[in-house]
Amino acid sequence: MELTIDGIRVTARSEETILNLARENGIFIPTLCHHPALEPFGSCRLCTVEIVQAKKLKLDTACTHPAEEGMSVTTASTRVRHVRKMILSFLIARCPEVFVLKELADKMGLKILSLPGENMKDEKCILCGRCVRVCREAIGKQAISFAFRGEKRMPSSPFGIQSENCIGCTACEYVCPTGAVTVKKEQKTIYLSPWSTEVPLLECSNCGSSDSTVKAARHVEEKLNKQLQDSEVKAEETSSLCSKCRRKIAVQRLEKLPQPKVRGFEK
Amino acid sequence: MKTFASILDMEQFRKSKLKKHKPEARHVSICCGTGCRASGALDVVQELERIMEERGVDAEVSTKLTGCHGFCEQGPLLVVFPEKILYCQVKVEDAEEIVTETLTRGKIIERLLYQDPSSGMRISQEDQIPFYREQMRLLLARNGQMDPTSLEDYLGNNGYIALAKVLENLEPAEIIEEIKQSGLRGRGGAGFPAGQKWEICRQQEEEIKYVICNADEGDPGCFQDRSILEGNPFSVLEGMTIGAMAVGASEGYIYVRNEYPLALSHLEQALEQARQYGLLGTNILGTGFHFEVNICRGGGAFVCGEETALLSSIESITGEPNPRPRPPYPATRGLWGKPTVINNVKTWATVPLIMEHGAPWHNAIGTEQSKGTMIFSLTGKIRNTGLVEVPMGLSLKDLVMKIGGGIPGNKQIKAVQTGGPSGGCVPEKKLDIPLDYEQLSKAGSMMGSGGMIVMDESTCMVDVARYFLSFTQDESCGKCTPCREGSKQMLLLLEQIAEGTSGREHLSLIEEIASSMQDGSLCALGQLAPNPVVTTMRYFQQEYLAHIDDKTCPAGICRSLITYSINPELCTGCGRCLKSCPAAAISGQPEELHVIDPEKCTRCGACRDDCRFEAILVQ
Repeated sequence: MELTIDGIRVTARSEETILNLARENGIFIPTLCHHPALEPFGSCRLCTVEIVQAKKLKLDTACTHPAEEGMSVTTASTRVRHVRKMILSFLIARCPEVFVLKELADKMGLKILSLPGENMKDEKCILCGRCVRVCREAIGKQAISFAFRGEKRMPSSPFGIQSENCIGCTACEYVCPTGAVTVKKEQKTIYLSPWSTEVPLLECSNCGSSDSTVKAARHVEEKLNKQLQDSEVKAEETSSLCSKCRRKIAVQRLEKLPQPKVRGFEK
Repeated sequence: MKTFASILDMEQFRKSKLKKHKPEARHVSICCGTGCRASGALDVVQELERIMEERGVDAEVSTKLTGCHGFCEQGPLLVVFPEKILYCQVKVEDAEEIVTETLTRGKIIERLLYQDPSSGMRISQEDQIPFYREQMRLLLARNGQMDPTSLEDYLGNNGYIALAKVLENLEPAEIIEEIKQSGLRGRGGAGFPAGQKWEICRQQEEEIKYVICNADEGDPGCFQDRSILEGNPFSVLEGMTIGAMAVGASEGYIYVRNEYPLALSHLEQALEQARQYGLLGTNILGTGFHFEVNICRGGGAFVCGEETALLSSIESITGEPNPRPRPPYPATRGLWGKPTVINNVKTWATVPLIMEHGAPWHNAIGTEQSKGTMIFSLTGKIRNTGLVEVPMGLSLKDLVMKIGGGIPGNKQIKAVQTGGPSGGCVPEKKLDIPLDYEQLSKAGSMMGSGGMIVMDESTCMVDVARYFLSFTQDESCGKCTPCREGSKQMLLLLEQIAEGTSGREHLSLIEEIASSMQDGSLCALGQLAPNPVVTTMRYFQQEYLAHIDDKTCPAGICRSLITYSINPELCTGCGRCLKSCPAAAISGQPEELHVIDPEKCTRCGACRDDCRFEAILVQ
């Protein structure tokens, strides 16, 4: 199907979002809560665009709205820029220390407003929910979720204490755009903040070093065994090893295998 | 208990039931809606029944506990049939006299009759009271007549006539055509044509479809859905059954907030009875049509009244609006991804009436674009508070002045807030507007779920805006940035205005925040939250400027901007204010001038309310 974004004619696949289509065509739309590996969430509203379809004008988020035939999208109209300016002003008032917000405002040439309710604490979470979603959607663990509502809303482990579901995979830290989630390794334990959660690290049965957690290794083992049931490679063999030793053992196993006969090259 | 094997079976049962029913026989109906229960209706019932049994009157006179009659201001309400004598504010002590005088001798007890505040006349009959006379009670008609927990009584009040007619004579497409012709629009607030919604759902080629009744009524001061569910739950079930047949659904959900215990209990009883009588479940009335209804209880989040949040909540996901791109609307992809019709309680309850009386009947009521009646919860600074049902197109002024009886205490009306916390304030000069979806939107307000709060001259509009915004801010789920952060910032700005610590530049800042919330929020809660602020700023700009420039609150409400003092010329030294002051800020000897210490005074207004000589000055 064909539509226009900022006057440029573009072709979309079915069920493709406006955001995806714009990015494929090199058109910039700012985002904060969007992550390509996760389902569209539409919570930060920064990717709001103006859409004209069937002579009706509306504003909606590009990350959730599918491209449709004959649609005309404007990514930076006055109304859109106003919404973005206010969203960034709100978030900067909430999280004055988060650098990426000011960068985004500068990139779009938006003048940030000073608001009365500025947060003087070093709040870093913009409530984009990427951590909560990656844990549920990509890892399948739901170790954290949102607690409370309205301005009190926050991502949290259940009751704010040690999450039993957490495997210490650190995907939450990986996707956090602002550095609100932090991971600290200390000897045999990994500490995840702000989840008040600690997970024991895996000690390699071969060399004693640590590069993953026990639970994460088991999680991988489960996932792989499901996929590789008939394969010769059994994941549980390797789930107690660090990555270096795992490769070493794989090579050793190769060496033990009988020499293959290669026809035609025999002397 | 009986199970109806066929439509004929049910009609025969109805006939035999009606034959036994003698309309001229004396009986008493007592309103046992939540409002009247709170003012002691159940105690009155108990006492009445005790005395009647003692005297042996109970053999001839039966009592009936009904749903809400709407005139909650005057509760507990009691109506004696066949004369339809209405007694107001009945107390336990009155039971004795009611039994001896009215029930046995047929004599009217003057002092329990309604007294018209303007003429001082006592009025004995319900339909002669101005509050009822100007109304058009269709949805609420049976509320005062039937026992809401008895399906037999519903049958005796023309219940399930519509369903029988539909099952016997109409194809699904014909039902939808009828609803379309009737002009019925969604009563939940947005006013989307119900027939069109049903048609979209019907056209979907899916095996499984759902119908949902949205009974998550959450606006402060709104209780029309509650009253229907409490007073006539069968009408909602009948409407849903017809709707299910039209769209091809075999399962329905009623999403009720858990804060409505009586509505829940009556619904559960209604479902139970409907199942036993064969009016729900498999093979309804022997026609081969299956339909089952489940109750889903809401956990107290206002936002769950929003369609997508409601669906999530039923699906056991956190009750937050989902950014499901719309279209597809729930009618194409709703509950568990299946085509779903979601309608409000009032919409469903209207359906049987339309099917019984025909589309032209319904179409003839109302205005060009808004058909039928609408129920409003009339509250605030008004003589008659309660539930009123009026035809669309009645002017706001008539509703407030004629049905509402005007403003008490010789005060001037200032504005009317319609549509709940997401609606807007209609100022006095615009009260002539007819009540329909389009006209209310044009005035910057909305129909919403039918909340109506009347304000007089002693209301501060900055305070009103602050109050409504604090409600939506508190109820914001917090998912999207504009609603969560915008409402918080806007509330802070309004608080600064109320405290007299803001400048004129804050007004434009509020406007900027408002437009970003309207354009950027994920669901209607955030998009509409600025409405009370925007409309009060538009219509009462001078009042805002008085707070900002002169640091005064003209209505004398905003505590930081007012001082209380006593007018020496009017004070008689009676000491009432001294006793009423919770902060011990008033001093003075009996019969001498009293004085308020501004340092101790918390500006609560208790002294002003208690003073009989209007000697308390607020500046």
